[in-house]
Amino acid sequence: MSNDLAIRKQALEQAIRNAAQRSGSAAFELRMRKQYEVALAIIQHLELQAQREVLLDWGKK
Amino acid sequence: MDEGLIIVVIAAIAFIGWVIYTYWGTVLTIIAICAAVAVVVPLLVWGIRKYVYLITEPRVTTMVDNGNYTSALDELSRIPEAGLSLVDSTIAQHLDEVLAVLNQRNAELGSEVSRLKQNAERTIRSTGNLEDRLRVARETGHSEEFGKALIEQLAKSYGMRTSRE
Repeated sequence: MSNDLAIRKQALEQAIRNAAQRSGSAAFELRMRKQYEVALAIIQHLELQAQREVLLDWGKK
Repeated sequence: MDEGLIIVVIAAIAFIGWVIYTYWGTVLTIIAICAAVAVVVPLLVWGIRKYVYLITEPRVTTMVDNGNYTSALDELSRIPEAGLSLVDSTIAQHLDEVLAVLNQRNAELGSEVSRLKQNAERTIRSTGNLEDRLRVARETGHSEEFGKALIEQLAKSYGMRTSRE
């Protein structure tokens, strides 16, 4: 994982943890979990894109 | 203090007293309206800022659809705390739909990356001179950390030494 993505992931995890601690609502916790899952899926997608670009680039050389 | 100023102040107070005495009903109405506005406007602003996200939430969906993944990631961290179960449940549903789309795309992209990795592995396996390949990759600006790591990982998996060792 690149530094930028790792920093984003950490910041997001922290924000979600803080928000979940403040709220006692089950709906809010579900939403935060979905938010986190979407963020992880996006990060995974960005990583896959980076891998694809590197592999395509490498294949050309 | 200047006498003129004192006279003006007394006159102003007298005038205000006269206005209140004469039109106290109107004055009270104006004060009530001002108080209502002072309460209602901040409440409206607070409510709009908090719950308008129900309408704007699909922005994450739009960004993902358009391939703006970095923006979508930033947008995700900006979703405000709603405080209403209905709002949170609705946002969770939106996010569920986005997640389904992302999972499908990741599966497709993962398959492609896997295929490309296999191709790269086949290339390395069929090439005798790995050191040359690594040198060329570095010299041609192959500076991505992932690229280096991948090449070295592949090299190691075939028992080849890399220049970093």
